[in-house]
Amino acid sequence: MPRGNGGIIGPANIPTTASAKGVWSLIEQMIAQRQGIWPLSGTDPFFYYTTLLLPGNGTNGAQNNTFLDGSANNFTITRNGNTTQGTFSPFSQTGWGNYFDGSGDYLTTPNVTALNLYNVTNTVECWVYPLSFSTAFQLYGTDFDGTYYTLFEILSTSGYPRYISRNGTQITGSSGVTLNQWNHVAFGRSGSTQSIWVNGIRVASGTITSEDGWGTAVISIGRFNAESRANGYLSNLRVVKGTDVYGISNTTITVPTAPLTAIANTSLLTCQSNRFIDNSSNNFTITRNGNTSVVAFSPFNPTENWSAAAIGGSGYFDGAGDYLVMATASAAINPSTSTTPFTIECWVYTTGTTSTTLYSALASENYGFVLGFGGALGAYDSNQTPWFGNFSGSWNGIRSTTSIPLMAWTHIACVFTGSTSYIYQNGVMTASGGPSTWAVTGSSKVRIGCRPDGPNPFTGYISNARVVIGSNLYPNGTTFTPPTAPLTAITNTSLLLNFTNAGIYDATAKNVLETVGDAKISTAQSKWGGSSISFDGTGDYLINASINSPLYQFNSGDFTVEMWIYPTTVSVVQYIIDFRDPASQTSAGIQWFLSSSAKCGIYVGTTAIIAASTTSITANTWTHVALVKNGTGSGNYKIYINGTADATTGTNTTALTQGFLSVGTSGNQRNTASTDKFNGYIQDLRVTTGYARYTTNFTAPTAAFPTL
Amino acid sequence: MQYWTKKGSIPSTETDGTEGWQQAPAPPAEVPADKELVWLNWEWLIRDPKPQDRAGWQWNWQHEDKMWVECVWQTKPLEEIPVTLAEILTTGQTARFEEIPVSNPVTID
Repeated sequence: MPRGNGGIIGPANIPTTASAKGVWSLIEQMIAQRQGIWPLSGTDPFFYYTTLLLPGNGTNGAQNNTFLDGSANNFTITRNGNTTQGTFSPFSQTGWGNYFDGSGDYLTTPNVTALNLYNVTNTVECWVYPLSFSTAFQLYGTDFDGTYYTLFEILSTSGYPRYISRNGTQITGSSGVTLNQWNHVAFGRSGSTQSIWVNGIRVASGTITSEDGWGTAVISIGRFNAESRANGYLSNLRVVKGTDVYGISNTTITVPTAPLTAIANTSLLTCQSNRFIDNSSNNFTITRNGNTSVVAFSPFNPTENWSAAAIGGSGYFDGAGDYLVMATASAAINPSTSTTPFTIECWVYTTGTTSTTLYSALASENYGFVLGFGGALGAYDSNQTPWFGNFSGSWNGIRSTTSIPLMAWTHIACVFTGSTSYIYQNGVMTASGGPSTWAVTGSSKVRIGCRPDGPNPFTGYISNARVVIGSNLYPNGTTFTPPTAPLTAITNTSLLLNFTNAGIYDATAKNVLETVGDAKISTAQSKWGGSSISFDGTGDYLINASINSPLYQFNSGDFTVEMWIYPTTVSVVQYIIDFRDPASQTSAGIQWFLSSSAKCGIYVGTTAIIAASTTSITANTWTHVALVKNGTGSGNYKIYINGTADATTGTNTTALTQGFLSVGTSGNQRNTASTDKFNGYIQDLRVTTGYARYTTNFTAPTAAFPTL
Repeated sequence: MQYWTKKGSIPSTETDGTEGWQQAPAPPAEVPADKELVWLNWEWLIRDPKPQDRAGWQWNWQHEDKMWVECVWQTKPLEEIPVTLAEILTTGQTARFEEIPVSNPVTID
């Protein structure tokens, strides 16, 4: 009996959101997905472009501002400031990339023999997500050494890949990469033949006829001759010296569907971790320059859902009065004798420094131990160097000279063995020595995110903060592999903050949202799963701190913002979502609101794209609404209401450079109690960056969105 | 009427029947018109509304002192510091942080 399918393989069939029986090609699946007629109960083939997903399911009344101690002590934790928590974690299930903002951001590696690709079989590949072609995107190569250079790059304007041998041959692709999408680019060489593939298609193959060595300048990723040459994302950059991985004669290759691994002859493997690291056996130093950042954004779909146990979360401290402290003092968090071994550790992702003063991530209030940053001997500095000490009449401690990079996760462990103290950064011992005794004992509180006496708060994310009194967890002075999963309450754990008690969590593990007012999970209304996110119209909203996230800077690319809404009133202006800078109403970010006549309005800054939809939104009813930007042509902005395109469309090509996130309020009215506030319920809020999920009418989702 | 909370959720009079619910205090019956009622850190608070932030500053709730405090908001651009990873110190270092001006350290006997 013939089996129906999409038509390419055999007789045509039509899938539904409930079933897609038969055999389907990926292209057929993609077409059906775009049409909204593909089962949603499984996985989302475009989850890797999903940058926010709020399922809205959980415990009635749950917010993001109660912090739990996961140790057996179960200490009550007091929140100060607007410290919040969410799913952004060192163990993101969505994979990693590096973001380059086009202004001074680049990475470098040492120019060593293993990375010298002169006249040798090799393969250089990566995924690149360019945000602009105004400059080239330098993927790999030796920088200008005063005379020559070697480049593996994406050309400006055209986006074509190009290889330039030192003082010699240029081999350029006949087509190029696409803006605002992940593209796989591979350069392969065997003998004197160089081939280049883009997304599996060979776009160039030629002979290297002239080549003058390799070059002596540093190897750079994202820079050439002191110019920034990277605006966008890179992921999984691999250099294999000695192997033609894909076969230079192949006109098509299979694009990997999982993160690259260190296969034989791998010389460099980077832009794929929670920190700047070379995962090849060489473990070459990767030097961060500018404000290049590690982001939980990659070309691969996850293989597991977010979960507290496997992925975990983090707390966000905004550097302006945020910290946590134990509600009551306890003797359990300080060493009981001056030679009691102990371990304090956490992951940190610093986003900035408020001053040139020291600050702490983890400290006991009576100075029994302090894990601090930014202090130097006799003077403060801004080098983000960690130190570990105590105070008993005077300060004693050890200090690392290795800085903590901003915008990347770093695991910090401080250990006292009973006689020697150590600091480990990402499993590498960076300081050791005295003090030989820790004299401060007794009852105290632990503070997280500020100095022991309160001021100088930490700025950024802290994850998996653990205090273990009575155990030296790490090998004395040698290296170890940093934790690859959330920490647990092992023996002797006195305090453990996993930061996984967010009621309103992002299933993509990319964001830590603050619940302002009493925005909360509510079981009063629900589209699926028994609950949703509640906003009462008087000061309730969600924000992604004050972070201008590149993930929401849609630039010139496509995007989809969608959700189910259940407004309980439709007679006043209510903001659904706003990406503008809270400090600038005119900034280039999308804003979406309901007018006082229940129409959808879409603006960029103060420019109306869709001043008012034709269709109105009904009060006290669940409605699926989707805002889609698709391309640059006429009517490139569309609103779909319950799957049907509204009659009013908009046309705009403004590059969207603002990525602040406000849900339920306008950005510039965050601090008011009532103006612009959404009144009702929201569920399954999903933002897809770089992809227009709907280009024609579709059936409104019949189930909750997949979370992987 | 008994109120319940799970992992610090805003107390309500009903549970969903799952494990982990614990008793919570009932909210105050009356809240002055110029005050707001919030559930925070496992307790009900009647407090002044948050003052309006001004540029470069942010009001934060200092729970330990039960008051709003105004803090400097981060306006400085991110430091751009070349950082080299995986530098391993070959010798131990001992440091004394005598000049770090931590004010009034508290010691508990």
